[in-house]
Amino acid sequence: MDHGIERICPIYEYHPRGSWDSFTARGRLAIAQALLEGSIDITSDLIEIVYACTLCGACHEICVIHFPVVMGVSKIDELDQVKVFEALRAEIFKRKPDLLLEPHKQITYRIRAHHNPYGEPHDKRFAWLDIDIYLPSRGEIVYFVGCTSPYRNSEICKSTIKILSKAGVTPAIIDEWCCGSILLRTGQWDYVNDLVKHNLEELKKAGAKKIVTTCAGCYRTLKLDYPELLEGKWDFEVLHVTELLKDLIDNGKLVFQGKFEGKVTYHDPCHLGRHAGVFDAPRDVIRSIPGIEFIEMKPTRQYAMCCGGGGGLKSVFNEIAVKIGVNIVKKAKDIGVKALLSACPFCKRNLTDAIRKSSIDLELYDITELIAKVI
Amino acid sequence: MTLSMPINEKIKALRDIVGPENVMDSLPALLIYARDASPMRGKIPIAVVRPGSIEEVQEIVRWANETKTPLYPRSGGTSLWGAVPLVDGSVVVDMTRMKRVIEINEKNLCCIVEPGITFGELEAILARHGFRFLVSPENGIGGTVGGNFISHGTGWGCGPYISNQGDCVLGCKVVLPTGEVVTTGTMANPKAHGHFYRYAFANDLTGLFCGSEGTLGIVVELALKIEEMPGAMGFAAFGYDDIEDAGEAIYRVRRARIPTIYAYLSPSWTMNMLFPEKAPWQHVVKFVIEANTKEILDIELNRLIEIAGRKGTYLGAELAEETWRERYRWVGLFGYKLGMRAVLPVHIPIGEIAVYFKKIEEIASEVKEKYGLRVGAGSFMCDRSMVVVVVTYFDPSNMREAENALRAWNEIKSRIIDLGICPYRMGGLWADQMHKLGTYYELLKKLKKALDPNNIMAPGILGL
Repeated sequence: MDHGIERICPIYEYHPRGSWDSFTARGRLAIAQALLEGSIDITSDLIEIVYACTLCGACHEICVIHFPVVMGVSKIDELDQVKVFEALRAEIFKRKPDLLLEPHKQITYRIRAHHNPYGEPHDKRFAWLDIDIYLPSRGEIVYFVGCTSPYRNSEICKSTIKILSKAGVTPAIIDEWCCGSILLRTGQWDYVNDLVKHNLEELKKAGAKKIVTTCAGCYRTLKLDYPELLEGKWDFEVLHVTELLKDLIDNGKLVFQGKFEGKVTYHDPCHLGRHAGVFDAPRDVIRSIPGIEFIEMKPTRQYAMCCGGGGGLKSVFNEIAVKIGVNIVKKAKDIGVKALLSACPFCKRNLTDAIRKSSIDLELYDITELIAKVI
Repeated sequence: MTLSMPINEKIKALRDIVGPENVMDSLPALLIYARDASPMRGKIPIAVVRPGSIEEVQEIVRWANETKTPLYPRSGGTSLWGAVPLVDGSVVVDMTRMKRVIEINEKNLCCIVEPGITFGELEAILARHGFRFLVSPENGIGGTVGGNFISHGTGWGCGPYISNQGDCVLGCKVVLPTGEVVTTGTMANPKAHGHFYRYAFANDLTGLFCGSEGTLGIVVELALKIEEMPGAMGFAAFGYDDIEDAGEAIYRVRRARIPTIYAYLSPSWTMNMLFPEKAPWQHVVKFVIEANTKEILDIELNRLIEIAGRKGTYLGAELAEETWRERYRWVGLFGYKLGMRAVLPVHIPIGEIAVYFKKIEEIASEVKEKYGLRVGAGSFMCDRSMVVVVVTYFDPSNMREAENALRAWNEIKSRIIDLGICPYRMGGLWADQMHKLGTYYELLKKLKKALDPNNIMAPGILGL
């Protein structure tokens, strides 16, 4: 029997003021209620508290409260803290857009101008593709590459294409724009509909039936947010690449030629695990790699602690985000693994920074990278 | 109470005591400190201060006396009975920075902890040494040891010999309202060999602070009894058609001294409300027991099944085992299923379970008729008592319903005390009922006046 409960709110543990009640979920809920009641103004103090959160949803797992309707969030029978916090941020943006933190404002400008939050040229989104690889613009399976992987962590999309091609799957690619995840998370909802509309049209044009993502943020957005935003006009099967890989491995379409000797562990990306319930597919894929010894890093699955990279935290409070990441890296090191795996470019980015910051000797891979090494 | 110093000067003084990083005074940050987990709203304090040592607590208290500033100690903030600031101009003393395990004294079977440690954290630390504490609240994740002690906490672990957290405390260290520090139990004599006996040196002064809810000082250390892990645990649940039979079963199990560490009664009318998809329900009683060896456990489990099963249906182990497994998430998982909760925790005698449950059911039905609100109840064994948690459910986004819930909460409260039912964990909620206790209340007021002449400690709480 496990004894005790670890706190899994990353802000509680690693924000300098995180252990104050004000910076916990209930502190933010009190602010939301006060705003609704009109008893408080939006100030920079308030914004600091509201945005000091990765929206990881750990508070929801620890305190699953069945509850009726809060902050206009309906169609749920339980209090979804993440939804309330997103709605709270949207309310702040609606009332006082000028007070929004500058890096978040920049994200909107860049997405409007370049269709990605990094401000990179839109026509370079597929610059990572080898010249001799042809991916069609039409097809039933579309690889939605996202923004972070092609512009910052291209090893993930390169590995994905290598794996899929080995398994005989040729996905289509589309003229995609940012999925809108970062705008939804930071409350900047007014431009999201344009992104959704564009991506929907492109997917339809491509004749898509299945959408595969390597980004947990895109996965959550396409899988959970788009259907809600489009109110039933979304008819695509959305798969995280680990779900597709599991299927290919189980059906003998993806065969390993090499092996990876050593112990590894897996960090659950919040958007994939806690938010969307994909816990088993990544683990099954990892376990299927010859030679590998998989060890769980506790707390795990729905109780896993966020890496710190999400919810817009990294762009405004990078130091805290990296501190949170160092915790994950240390935990992995403490259980004696050779490599830490994840399944999200945001996790990869923040954990890379964490390894650099902590100087901990640990290999770090997205699952796709490791698979690409052994096929 | 006069406030003789401007607020900004007060904030500066507090920052000088604990460092600027340990004082919070921005309005959005203060909102949550005007609340606990009940629907009761307190007054927004002027600041929250987080001391990190006994000396800092003393300085804060002395400063509060000089400036006549009301102080409200707080730790987990998860109370359900209005443990909130009740007067304007107060400072909340947040004890969660003081959360060290100072000592695990295996020889004395005791650990000394600071008040801000949560039960979840302490359980993990003790387990690494092969030990455990004896009682923890249903909210062990956020609930702190200090908060539980000063509010007569009950919960997991209560059974035939343990009625609340106070039974598990060997002594405490308290900063009195005038700033002096007192240690109770054997350690009142600094030469004593640690904390090993509570009832040393005349009056049981540990008991003076147990249940005082911050009105008589700030608890800064607690000596808790610890025990080795149980050798074996057993689980069993039973269904009863009549509340008399359910009540009789619990009473008989207690009387037979079966080593129960949790015995929970869910009356059918509450179960039908919470889980209508599986209605009609019987009255369900879940037992968790422990023993030093598997052999003894088997004997005790057989006794339990024989006694509790006389007039009930044995429902297997799973229901009770699941309850125990999810013990720290229990409230979140089921507590809010019908909406926000206005909770009244009270004690009834273990031999009269059915009598009082019938009365509570009557009240629930009248409240439903009058306010259109649903009222449920659950109950667990605390030695010779059963704690009954009476819950009024409401939708907080419906202002009318929320107002009605507060009216119903107060009405039930008043009726309950008039029925002879014994409230505990009283905070600000029960303050207006204290006069019904006559001389007892007068004595409490005299004690308060003697220890806290400037009435700086938690004014209004417990009606003091």
